Amino acid sequence: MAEQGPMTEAMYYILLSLLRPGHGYGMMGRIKELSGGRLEMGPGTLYGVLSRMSREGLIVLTGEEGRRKTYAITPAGREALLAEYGRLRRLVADGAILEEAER
Amino acid sequence: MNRTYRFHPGEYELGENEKFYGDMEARGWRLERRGGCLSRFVRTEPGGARYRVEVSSRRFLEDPALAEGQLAVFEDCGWEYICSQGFLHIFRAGPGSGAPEFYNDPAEQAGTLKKVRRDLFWGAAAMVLVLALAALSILLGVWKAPGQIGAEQLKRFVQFPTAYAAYALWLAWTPWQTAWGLWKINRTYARLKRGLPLDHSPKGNRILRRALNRGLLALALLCLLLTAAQLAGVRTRDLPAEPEGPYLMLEDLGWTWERGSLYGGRESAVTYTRSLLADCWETLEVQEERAGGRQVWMRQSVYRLRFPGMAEALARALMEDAVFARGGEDFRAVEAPGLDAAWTARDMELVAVRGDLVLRVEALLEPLDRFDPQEICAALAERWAAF
Repeated sequence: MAEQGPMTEAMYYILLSLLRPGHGYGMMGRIKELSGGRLEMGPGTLYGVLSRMSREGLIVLTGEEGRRKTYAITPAGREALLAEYGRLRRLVADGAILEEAER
Repeated sequence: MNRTYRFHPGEYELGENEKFYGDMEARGWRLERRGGCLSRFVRTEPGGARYRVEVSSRRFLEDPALAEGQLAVFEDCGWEYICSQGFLHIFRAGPGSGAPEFYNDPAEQAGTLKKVRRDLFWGAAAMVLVLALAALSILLGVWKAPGQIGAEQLKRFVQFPTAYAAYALWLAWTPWQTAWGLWKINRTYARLKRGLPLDHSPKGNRILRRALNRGLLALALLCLLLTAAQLAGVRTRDLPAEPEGPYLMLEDLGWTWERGSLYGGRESAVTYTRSLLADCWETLEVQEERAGGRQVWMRQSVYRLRFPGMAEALARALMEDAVFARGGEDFRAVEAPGLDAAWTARDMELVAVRGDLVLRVEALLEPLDRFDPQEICAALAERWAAF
């Protein structure tokens, strides 16, 4: 797996959604749900990111129902997701001074 | 009429294609199939359907079709796959389908275009290389044999001007289309990289470029049709006993042996071609002496030009492109009463001009020194005066 830099929003949410294995269309619904309706992922974006993360070993194809392909997150993907989550938490924590400044 | 055909925007104009197909459906024509230049539409209820174009990139000789998994995701989202042409894949969503846009992240779409852009760039580089090699080989050929390549080309151009025009149009069209494609794809790529989504309804006046493209295409098709008609009209038949064109017969030079055939079975024949620039006759006449087994033959290329101003240039080209002489420098001028000019070489070849008529004759007579340029010129002057 290549050295993982900061993730794009699409990668982050796709990995989050794949904590429970699913196919493309199902993932789109789950991402919308996880983001509270804020993020409506397009099928082109989704498919492009899935292909890339599959090549990078972050997700894996687990089954096919007709033309639909089911993916799941790999241990490497889970590790990358946790690392990104930690990074985002640190960013948010560092940004807490904004709230103090606003008071 | 339930079907119609329309010229569509180029394959690298993504937003323009989306708008074009959407506009057509708004007028009651639904896309059915996309070809190289034309799209086929079927009559439908006018409506506000959206069309979107997805691109795919593939390695050399790989199938450019979209992956089944990708198609399934798009269709699950409400997009109906209509057709593909090369790396373009066209989808449609009816009004009220709620199908989401393909890309919510322009940078992601830029990633797909990057591959198409790279393919186009290498395609253009290969084209430039091929054209450069072709130009180099022509230059080397001209350098090694000055005049001969140009002469051959001029001769063929007089015979098949429309084929040359179609080829020239293709040579102009291909780099123009490639350059336009590169410019368009780079512009779209830069826009997406800046984080701006693809413009699905681009403004802009395409009238001039559309007229230019259609004009070039119509002209190329016309040239090809004329070439096909010309080729269909080429007639080769046995050489008649009496000449039916401005060419000589061996009898005009005093030969009255029997008709015969060359080694390989070539018989006396005349081929007539009519082009936009000239009427052309190519003849071969073979005679054999029945008792002695001796043989003589004469071959001619005769052109009656529609533009007599080309006559001298064509005569020079025929000398450069001579069969037995090494080129124009082997020919010397001969006195030719009744003709504008005549030149001969190696006691076997003669080129002559009068007005709009140009001829080259090669003959192998018996004995060899029987080839008499003055006699041929005199016979020719008589024949052309009567023609």
